[in-house]
Amino acid sequence: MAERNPVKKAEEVKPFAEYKEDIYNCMKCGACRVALRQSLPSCPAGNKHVFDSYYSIGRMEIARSILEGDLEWNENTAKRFYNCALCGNCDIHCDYVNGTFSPMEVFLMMRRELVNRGLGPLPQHKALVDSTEEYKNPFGKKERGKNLPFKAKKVDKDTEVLFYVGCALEFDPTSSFITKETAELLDKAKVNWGILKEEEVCCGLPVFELGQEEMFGKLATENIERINQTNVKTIVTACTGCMSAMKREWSRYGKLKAKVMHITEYADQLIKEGKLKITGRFDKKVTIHDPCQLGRFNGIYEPTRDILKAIPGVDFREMERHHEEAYCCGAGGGLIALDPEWTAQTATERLEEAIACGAEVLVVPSCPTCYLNFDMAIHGYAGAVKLYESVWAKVPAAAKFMGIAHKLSSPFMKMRKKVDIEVIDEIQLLNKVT
Amino acid sequence: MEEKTIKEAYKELAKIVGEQYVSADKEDIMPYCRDEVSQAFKTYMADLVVAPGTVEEIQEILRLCNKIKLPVYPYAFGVSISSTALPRVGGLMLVVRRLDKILEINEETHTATIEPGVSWSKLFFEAAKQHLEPLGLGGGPHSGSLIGNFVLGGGNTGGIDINEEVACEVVLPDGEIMWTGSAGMKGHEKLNPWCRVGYGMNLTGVFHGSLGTYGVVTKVVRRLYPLRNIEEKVQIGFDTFEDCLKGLKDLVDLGISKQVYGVNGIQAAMIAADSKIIHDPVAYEKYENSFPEFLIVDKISCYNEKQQTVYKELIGETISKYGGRFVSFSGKTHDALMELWDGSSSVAIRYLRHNPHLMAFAMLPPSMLPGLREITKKIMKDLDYELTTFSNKAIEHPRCWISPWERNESYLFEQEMEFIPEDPVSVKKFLEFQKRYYAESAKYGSSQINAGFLKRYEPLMWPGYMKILRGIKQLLDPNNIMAPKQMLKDI
Repeated sequence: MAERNPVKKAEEVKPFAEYKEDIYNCMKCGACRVALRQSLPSCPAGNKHVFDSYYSIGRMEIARSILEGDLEWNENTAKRFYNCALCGNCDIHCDYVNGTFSPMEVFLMMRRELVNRGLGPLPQHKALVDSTEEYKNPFGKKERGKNLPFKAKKVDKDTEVLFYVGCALEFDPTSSFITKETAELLDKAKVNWGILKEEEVCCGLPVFELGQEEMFGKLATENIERINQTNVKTIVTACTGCMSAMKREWSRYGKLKAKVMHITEYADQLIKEGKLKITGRFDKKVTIHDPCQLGRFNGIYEPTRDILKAIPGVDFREMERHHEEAYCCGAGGGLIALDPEWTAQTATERLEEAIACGAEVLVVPSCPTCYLNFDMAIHGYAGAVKLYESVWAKVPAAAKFMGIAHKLSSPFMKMRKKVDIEVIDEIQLLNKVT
Repeated sequence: MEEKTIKEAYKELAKIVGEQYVSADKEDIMPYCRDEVSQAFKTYMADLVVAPGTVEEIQEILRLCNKIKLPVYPYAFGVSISSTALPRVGGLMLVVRRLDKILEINEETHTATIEPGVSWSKLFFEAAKQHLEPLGLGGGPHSGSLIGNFVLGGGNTGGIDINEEVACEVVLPDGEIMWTGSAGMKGHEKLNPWCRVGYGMNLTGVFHGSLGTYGVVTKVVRRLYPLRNIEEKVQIGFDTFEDCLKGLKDLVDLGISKQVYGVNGIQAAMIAADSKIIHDPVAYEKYENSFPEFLIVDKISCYNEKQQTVYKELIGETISKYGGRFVSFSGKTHDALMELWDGSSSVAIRYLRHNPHLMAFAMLPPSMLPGLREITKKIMKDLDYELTTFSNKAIEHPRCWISPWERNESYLFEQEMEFIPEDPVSVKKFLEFQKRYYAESAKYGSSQINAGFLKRYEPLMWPGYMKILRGIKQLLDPNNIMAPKQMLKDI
């Protein structure tokens, strides 16, 4: 097993030309294509599009060819660099065998450069970016803090824990139940918590991933300043994307005074401190999906497993690809807005892997993107259409998809006669047994 | 090729494989047209890329290419670093990686029948489930392909790959299928493809190292070996190159090793160092000095602990004659070296994690290697060759890897020469080194392992030798569509 180093993070954003050494450091070993030991696919984009230009190995060659003048910046470049889940699997394997650079940083740099040149993001992303600029959330929703399925107090001077809700967990009809589950768990453990309500704005990760660095910087700065005005000691979020933005990417724009924790980390801590008592059982065969932003990007693997181990009756088993080699659900990097059918197909492959290890239940440590994607894979696209309707309606290709989405069978249902696996959020599971 | 021909070819290819598996976009084609060493050479560009999913599709593609005389370059995983799989006259890159099945692992014959998209790691992983393993590859990454190595010429610094292929299936340039070895008789590919020498000549060898010039290899039957309960990589330190060579030869003669290699300390240090150390010159120098001058690993495989003890005693007695001693490492260094010694290590790619370089190969008896090393140093001195990374020790002691080829008939000796792709002076020196190194080593009888070298050596070869190679090429591929100019300058 490779050493568990997280995906590397840029300390500063550099221009294209300054990535020359990184680009030349790709030695074409192809380790980015496969989960090394098992030799199973590691890259959703390459797995779908087949050609090397969709794998890290080929994208690095495209970047090198542009540097050397053999290729030009154009729509084809944008297509290769935006058809990527930014899952970081290539980065992990590259680090294992090469260790001198981060392919992910090169991809993000290429996306930023495509934005600078007016070639990025892709048309399917434009409305999402416009919405983030106008409403400070990517889903075209005008009002914040009024859609929450629980009652919560707004953070005041005495609040110890900020529950940073995030855009998807407020607006996504499929996964917003995780918000309620999180609130229930925090109450159960008698945590002194609050939310920002109407003052919360997007963490910026969606636009960061699309190469909109300037917009991301503004959101990061606004968030940091707002949160630092409070006295909270800990920020808890049930969204892996928000957590990753706070832990990694915001640091270029300022320093948070409070400690950032994902809800599963926090829940694990509460259990270990005795503040949350497990009283029930869960007699099922269970496996776990490691969301990319939680695992590969932040190295958080064990708290999610420790929770499961603490629940009596859980018969835990790992999927073939797990920890840093875990296969992405397919929805990251802006792909869910770009090509929902593809992302659902990738999620289906992951569900098949879960079933193959004998699991009856796939536990997802609170990640609204993963959850929505698994839901699409099993139940179809209604949830995604509802979430994206206000932004997709403005994009002809997406609007067309919305028109036919209700007629499309889910990829999982196409492959199997019955739904023989249950997808469950880890906090939802924890609430059942505490 | 004319644009009209390319457009027609695209349409026909799309009919054969489906539109999603063919592309004329430069962005899709370019990654298959360059490799690490090609950074020092002219950039080549193909016109199309296609990724068939079946042998039948490959047959149809080759028939089409023959009809319209479109050059074809077979391509597997692209981990070649020898500029031997480049589209020198344009045409079609034929990516065979979608054929990725292990068709059979036969426990009785100890063979695996595999397709070209099967990587080393996949075969290791699957064979281990039946307590078998292929003999390790040594020099390339896990992510590379066994068949790609076979077609390119073995590519195996583990040294024994050349006899590991039992039989193969080839789609000939006209689209016809044939099998070699004991599967040479029609229908026997299902009955008994497990004997290397079938009917007369060893035709598998014709395709070994052929660089795709004689056809597309679509299946290979490859030997496997039992995985025993205990495997140990015994590491031995030596003070001089000469002592290391003597120790290596005697260890091979003992006949108890599964695999045995030698490497100089600075090479081992460079491979084992983590990226933090590599970027810190002071820390790196200290790290490098902690290694013995030369290091041998003797990989032994045993049924039980008693056998393991006896083997280690025998090794100890043998190496002590030359001042050799058992050494061990700890932490990350230990882990990295164990990966390397596994003989199939992804860590081997760490050879490459600095500026692009040539692995300068020679195949010579061990007694000639010290002389070759002196020649190398002289060429480097004459050219005022600068190695751009790591300590200056590498100038006096070029980084090297020593592997008994065919278990002792001659040793594969590999030295690493770097260049800076964006620096014309560095590239020029690299090319000059390459030219002189191969010319000098050939004078003393060094052989080379793939057909790419024939371009350079043809005037020096026996006319009959070349007559046969040219004759086969002309017979199988009269339109010269298969990898033109990969093997010879004119065809």
